[in-house]
Amino acid sequence: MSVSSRKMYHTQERRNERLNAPVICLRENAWLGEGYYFWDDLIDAIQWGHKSKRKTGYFEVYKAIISTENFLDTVFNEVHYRFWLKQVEKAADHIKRITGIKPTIKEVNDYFRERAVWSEVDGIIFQDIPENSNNLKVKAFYYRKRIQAVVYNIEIITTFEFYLADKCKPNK
Amino acid sequence: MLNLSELEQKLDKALSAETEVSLTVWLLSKRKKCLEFLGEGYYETLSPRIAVIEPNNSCFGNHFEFSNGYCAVGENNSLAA
Repeated sequence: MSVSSRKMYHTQERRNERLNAPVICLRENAWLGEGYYFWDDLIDAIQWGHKSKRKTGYFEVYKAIISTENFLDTVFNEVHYRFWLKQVEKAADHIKRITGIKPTIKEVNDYFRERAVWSEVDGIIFQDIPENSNNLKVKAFYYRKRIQAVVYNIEIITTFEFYLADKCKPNK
Repeated sequence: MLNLSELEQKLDKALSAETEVSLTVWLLSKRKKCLEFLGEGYYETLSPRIAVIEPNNSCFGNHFEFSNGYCAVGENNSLAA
């Protein structure tokens, strides 16, 4: 795996047939818009299966190798992080000032892609706050980043293969 | 390797070309798409009903009424938990 490639995980409901490509996320609340979403850490991929991929009672995790050369890496690349932060806030301020409407992060990101035509950006690596402290080794502090990637250009996914399947835990 | 300066220039150019109409139409079209799963129909504004408790007549069973006076409960989503 080259320096500009990452191993990541994709979680889906178990279907009749194994996937040979990731499933595009079309949810309107997907943080960074339409794209293929991946987890950096297997722990998060499995947790997502238990929480949100419950339709069939089972979920599957696929392992992928993704070429990240044309990614905005807002987690590990400080220059990219500061750039992205500045652009998000600039666009959000502008949209709010002109329209009076505060945009969501998805809308700002859609703006980048549709109106500013950032077509050369193949994907974004970003992080949010983990939801389940049971996976942490210390008490009451989220020292571990929950890292995801959204991929807009499926051609940069060089490997995609089944990794594991599991039964969803019963709802509490 | 991404050229960040080029990305920023593209964003700045796009933002500076926006008018109130162009940006509002674009933003509302995104939100309309978001609500399309509700199907065909129309939206009806729900006006908050303001219940008023008048302090001088606060015995049971009388003065919960609708007016512009005193303590507005439920206005502007300000209900406490």
